[in-house]
Amino acid sequence: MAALALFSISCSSTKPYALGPVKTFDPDTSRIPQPEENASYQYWDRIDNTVFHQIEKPLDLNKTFRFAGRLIGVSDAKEAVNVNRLDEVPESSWYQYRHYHDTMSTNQLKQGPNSVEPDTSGNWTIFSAKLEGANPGFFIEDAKGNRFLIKFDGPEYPELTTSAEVISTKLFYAAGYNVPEATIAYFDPEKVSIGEDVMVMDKGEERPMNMKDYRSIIEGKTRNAQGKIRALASKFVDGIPVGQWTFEGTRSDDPNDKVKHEDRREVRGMRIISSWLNDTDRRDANTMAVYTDEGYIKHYVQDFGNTLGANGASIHGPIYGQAYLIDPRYMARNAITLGTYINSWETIDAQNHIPHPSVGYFRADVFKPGQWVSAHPLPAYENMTLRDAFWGAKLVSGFSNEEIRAIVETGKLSNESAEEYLVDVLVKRRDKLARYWFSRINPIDKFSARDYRDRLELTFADLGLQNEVFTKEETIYKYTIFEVSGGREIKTDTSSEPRLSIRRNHLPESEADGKPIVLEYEISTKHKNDDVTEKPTKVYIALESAGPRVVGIQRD
Amino acid sequence: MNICQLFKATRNIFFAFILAFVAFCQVEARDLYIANADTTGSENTKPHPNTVAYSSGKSFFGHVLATPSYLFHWATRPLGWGIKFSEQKLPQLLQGERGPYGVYPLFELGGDALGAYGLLLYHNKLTRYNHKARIEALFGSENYNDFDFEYTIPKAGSDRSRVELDASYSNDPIKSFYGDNDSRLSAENIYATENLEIDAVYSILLSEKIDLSLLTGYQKMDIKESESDDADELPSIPGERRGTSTLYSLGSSVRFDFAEGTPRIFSGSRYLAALQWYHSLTDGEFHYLQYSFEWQQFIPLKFLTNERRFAFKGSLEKTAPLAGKSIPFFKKPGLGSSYDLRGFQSDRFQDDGSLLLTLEYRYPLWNFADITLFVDEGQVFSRYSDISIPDFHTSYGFGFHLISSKGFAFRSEFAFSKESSRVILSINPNF
Repeated sequence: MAALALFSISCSSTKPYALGPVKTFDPDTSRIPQPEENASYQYWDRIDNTVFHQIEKPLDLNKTFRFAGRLIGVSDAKEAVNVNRLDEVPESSWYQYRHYHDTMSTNQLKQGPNSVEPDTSGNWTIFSAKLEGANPGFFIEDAKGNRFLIKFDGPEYPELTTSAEVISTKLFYAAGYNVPEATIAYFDPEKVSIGEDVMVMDKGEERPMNMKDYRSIIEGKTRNAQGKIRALASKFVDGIPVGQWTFEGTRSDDPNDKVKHEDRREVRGMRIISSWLNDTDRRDANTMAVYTDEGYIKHYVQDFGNTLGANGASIHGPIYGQAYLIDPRYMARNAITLGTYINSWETIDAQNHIPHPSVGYFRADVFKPGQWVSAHPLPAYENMTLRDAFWGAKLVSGFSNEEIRAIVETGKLSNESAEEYLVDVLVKRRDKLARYWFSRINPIDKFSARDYRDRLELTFADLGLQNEVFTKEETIYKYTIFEVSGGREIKTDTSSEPRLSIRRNHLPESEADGKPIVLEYEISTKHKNDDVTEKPTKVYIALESAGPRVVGIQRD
Repeated sequence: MNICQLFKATRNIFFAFILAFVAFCQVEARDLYIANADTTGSENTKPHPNTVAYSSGKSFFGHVLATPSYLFHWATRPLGWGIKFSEQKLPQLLQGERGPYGVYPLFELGGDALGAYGLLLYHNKLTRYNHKARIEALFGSENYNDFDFEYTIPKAGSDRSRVELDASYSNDPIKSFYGDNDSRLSAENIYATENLEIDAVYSILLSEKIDLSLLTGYQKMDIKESESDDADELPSIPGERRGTSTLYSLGSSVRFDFAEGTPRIFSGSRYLAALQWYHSLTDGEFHYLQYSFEWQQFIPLKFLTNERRFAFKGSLEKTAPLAGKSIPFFKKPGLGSSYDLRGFQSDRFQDDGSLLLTLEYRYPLWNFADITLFVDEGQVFSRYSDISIPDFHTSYGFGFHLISSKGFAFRSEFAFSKESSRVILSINPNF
């Protein structure tokens, strides 16, 4: 009986559509007391996610049972929490509707998050610096009082890291994420001075910074014909940085933070954008939480120096994106096969695949969208479901070739063929990614309902067609329309166009209590060369007095 | 209860279990659905969905099911706190960067005292010529202590030569067999040692591949009855082997290194030859020569990749008495250590000469680790004519080698033989 009771509870659910307004904003921007800054750590999250988190997963019997249930077909993957009835992520302190939802102009894409560029005509004053580590740099205040983080390319790969930072920053921004401003700056090395009380760590000891330190930082850096040094200038964000955000759990001192980050679709779906850009170093330490002037925490994604062909000051190795840097799956296979299995990345010499130093190691041919992983496991990325992946893939597929080119141009690569190469790889990776994910789910989106003459018309975008995954000739939409109340089937038909219409006089009248009639469209996309018909997408349309309106979308 | 009733009861239990299982599978899904704050808004009483925040959480049952993971999670947090503390307060420790000088704690598990602790002090930039000094001190018990002092002059006379001075003192209970190729396990006995050794080595790089060393040494070994706990279980060393020996030595060695590969050596060969002359300083009882040859060969499996390779080592060691004098038993060539017949106990076989053949198959577990499968064949002998195939002893095993960017870093090996087994944890490579 207990089992039956549990079962009955488990089967209860709410309607898959909303007759009221659709949620488009998650109110996580209420004013809160300023939290303490949480320290950023380089090692622990990587160790924890690589080792302990992997052991914890099977110990959580919710996950184990769910996994077992999925194996026998009685359970589904745990879907993201912050998704509205239209299977979309509302805006929040994490995410804004941008290019996919409301097409940005080329200028807007090129501008990205930037509001101001560093003033290179006047003097720069260093107010903080880092001598040690893989990538020394400093912080400056320009003549106009704006503050920037200044970073440089590695000596062997001029323009690589700085261009990757700028290009990926703008692509992430256009996708809808909060990112710091980033721009390429060429500055006169003689117009830089060191502010008062600037201290540096030198061999474990703190001492005042001097001009010799400054010259050691800029030594060998990329210069243009005028002798100016190329740098990435990243503007300080408005507000007070309060540390990082994590890819798992919530922040205990932020009352607005109510959805576990591993259950947020925009964090899960970020994996797809990361895979596109080979953003391998995505982890807690490369995020930023900022306490805004409005009194809430805004969540930023930052540090894109390990994207595209760059891996910090150097290049990506062939393993990046193919496997975790410590990957028990492949380690077990290597051990069991006594080394007779050779992993694809083992035989690649990255140096043989670098067409230009400024683009590093960035390839489309070896890119496997379904197997891409960041350098270390991230709980949110691990939790990504097919629906999350579709969401991420549609953001990526929203960039046209020309838009990609426009953004790549802002990386200011001096070699035209390097720029061409980068555009080409990004386009090919986008297409590969779209082909992979859009062939695993019914790739229809952007639904709209309207009255057209005497008919009710439902239109949608077929992302499979738009991205040339499938051809129009081979695509046919099979659909059935039901009246939700009572479940009566109204019509079954096929269409070769992403436009489904039905005569109004075939539809039922409004219900007696004044509630609008709700129709359920069950749409399957059938490709002639493909024996498999994707699971149907259900679209709910309310026939309201103001006109028909899409009130729910359910993807399987 | 008849068979039919039993069948029905079993069936009902089975279905109840399935239903409970399905329910558990769905508990979180239900929470999730409820957590979806996308209210319909069709009723005026309901707030606008944009004013209702999403939230996620587990049900009571969800928490119950997650309890094992909670326990594990919190059990591992202290490690995280330690690593975070280290990152903030001792960043060099985690970055693998050692400063030019420093002090590190030393710990040793096992042995007579079951554990020993001590300090490592080093300075790599002494004088303007960057001399290096290193002091290790390990304190175990009254019966076990170890002190070591090394001083290196990296450029002694020329850029291609260097001088190393090494002085060590230890007292240590030792179990050994002193048996030849046919000795039995029951021959094991125990003694205590007090050992002082001072060595000086002058090395010169004759060419990129050839290294010549000249060495001299002094050793004072005092052997007496052991007072350790194990002395009650094992027979003590025979009386004629007790006493103090003082040895002076002179010698030279040459090494030809044609091995290739960084960080993994995958091809080429190495040859080592050494000759050393020993003489008693006090009573003239000992006077002998010791010579050795070693051949190492690395063979990549090119049809796979260079990282999959065979590594072979053949080594021969022999002592020869001079002027009718003898050889101290503790200096005779032996087999049974973490470098030769790894599956046997320490000093399992000992005689005037030893021959060892080792074959390892090494393949990458990952870019920073290798797995190695090995077999060791070895025997000791008195005369070369005693060497015969049936007399070889076999040990075998497997291991994990950590590889740093500079090469071998650490090995953990598990070796077996028909008599015993051995677990090896070492920062020194076998070869």
